[in-house]
Amino acid sequence: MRNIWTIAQREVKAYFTGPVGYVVMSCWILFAGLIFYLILGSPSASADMEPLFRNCTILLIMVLPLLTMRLLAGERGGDQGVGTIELLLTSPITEWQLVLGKYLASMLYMCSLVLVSGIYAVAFRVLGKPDVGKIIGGYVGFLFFSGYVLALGLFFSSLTNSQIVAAVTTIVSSLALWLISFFKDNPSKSLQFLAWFSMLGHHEDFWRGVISLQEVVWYCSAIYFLLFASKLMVASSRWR
Amino acid sequence: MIEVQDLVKAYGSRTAVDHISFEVKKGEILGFLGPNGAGKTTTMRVLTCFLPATSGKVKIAGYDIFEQSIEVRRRIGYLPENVPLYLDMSVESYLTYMARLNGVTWSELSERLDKVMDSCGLLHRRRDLIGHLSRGYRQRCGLAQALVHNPDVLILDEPTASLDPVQIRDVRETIKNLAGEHTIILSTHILPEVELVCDRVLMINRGRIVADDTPVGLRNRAASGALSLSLQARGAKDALLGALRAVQGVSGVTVVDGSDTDGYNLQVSASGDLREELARAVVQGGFGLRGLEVPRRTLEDIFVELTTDEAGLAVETPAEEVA
Ligand SMILES: Nc1ncnc2c1ncn2[C@@H]1O[C@H](COP(=O)(O)OP(=O)(O)OP(=O)(O)O)[C@@H](O)[C@H]1O
Ligand SMILES: [Mg+2]
Repeated sequence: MRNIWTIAQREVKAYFTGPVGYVVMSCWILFAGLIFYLILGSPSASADMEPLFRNCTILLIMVLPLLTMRLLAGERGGDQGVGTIELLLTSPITEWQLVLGKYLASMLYMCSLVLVSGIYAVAFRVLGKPDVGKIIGGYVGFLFFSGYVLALGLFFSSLTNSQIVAAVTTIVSSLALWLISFFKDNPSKSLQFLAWFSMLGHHEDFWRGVISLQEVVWYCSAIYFLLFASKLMVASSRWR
Repeated sequence: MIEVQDLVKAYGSRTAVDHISFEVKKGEILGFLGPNGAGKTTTMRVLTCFLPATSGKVKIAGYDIFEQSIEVRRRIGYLPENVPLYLDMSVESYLTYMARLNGVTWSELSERLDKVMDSCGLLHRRRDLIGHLSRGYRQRCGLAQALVHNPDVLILDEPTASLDPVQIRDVRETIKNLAGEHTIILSTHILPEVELVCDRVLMINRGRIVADDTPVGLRNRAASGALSLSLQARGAKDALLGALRAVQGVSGVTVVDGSDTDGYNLQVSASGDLREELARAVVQGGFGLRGLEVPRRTLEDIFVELTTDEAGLAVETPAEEVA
């Protein structure tokens, strides 16, 4: 536990002092603000937060991979040739602790993003009369959704030495996963099954203010699976 | 403290380390020598649990590196060859991070940091970003990182590479002071360093051990074989050569240069150290003896001899008996 925290702490500090953290935070504030303004300013404004959440998830897909790209690919070096993974893998920490520490750091920074966007929720509360349940549901949904994208990003970061490749593959595959959710109303059973893997379909309940056990379990298993795969990739880097 | 038995490490079809076995006792400093690509770094990476061995057994402080890897890693301080550092951290926060990862508690932390920064000459740069340090200071950071948790076993891959002469001396002092309580394996390409620092030398070539001895033993060992003595003497050339060739054990005499009156510089190939016999032959023949010596063989000669292949094969057999 202590080791996980030691690793997470370093990464969180790097987010708050390094350029990537600033870029992600500014993008988030700017674009989430813009989405908020456009939706609230439109004549058909319904003081319903669902469109805001829906658009923000796309934004998350674009910015979260920037947080995870460095986590494992950066340790391998590739881009800068630092190879600090050698230090980590010869320290008395397990591969699980390494992966969990990295993941925890990205989750903590993501939480700070979500907290910042909390001002929008407050504004909605003041300006309109939204359902508090929906706001809470939407925010919990954010956490699970982001947790999924971050785990995916960490996995891709464990596959490659290049941070750029890690970021691009994460964005592309998140978008692909997003798109296959449109198959869920397709008559074909196999396409419907494919859609089940998309995080989006498991997300909509949250926006309606429903936190269902089924969806929570889906997200947790998906995240566990991705972290486990990352752990395997880290372990296998000893063989490569 | 360290026991290596029949260690093999292959990268695909290339065997980088080929059945090596050796032991290091507690408190000993072992120098690892070998030409580029000999397999030094690979061996160290296996010992530090970074790479899994293809076959063989390694025990460090009584723990098996495959089965009790975490226990082994707790006891090892490792300076990798490429000196991995986080360029975006300050010296102090980097060392703190490495100390915490290696299990140093908060209460010991500041004492350990001060001690290790002091011994690596980093105290006045403690707040600088590592990315802004020069190559030599980065090397010092890497060394400090290996020492920070006061490990029982230190594995240092070329610890003095790219340091300035003063710092090289300091680092050697530091390493020597650590011996006794710590067991140290270091690799280097600086041969005099081995004689200054190490208790024992392990020379490897193409993944195989070619010598395992003390630096002195290594130097003396070759002196017993065939020798080429240099001799300066004055007198008639043919008579001189004849007298020398008549000495038992001399297989050949060649003239390097010189004249009857100033004397000749001669190279005498002999089966051993025949200085007395040669001197007697020269004096009894009525020639003027001006000089006679066995050239002092440096570690460098021995290194070249053991690691270039024709010569290496000849010496390999006795070397393996030692190992
Ligand atoms: N990751 C790798 N994949 C394939 N082959 C490798 C790898 N690392 C090392 N080798 C090979 O293994 C052999 C031993 O390399 P090693 O790095 O151990 O040499 P070394 O003794 O440390 O040399 P140097 O003095 O140059 O540091 C070399 O032939 C090298 O090409
Ligand atoms: Mg090397």
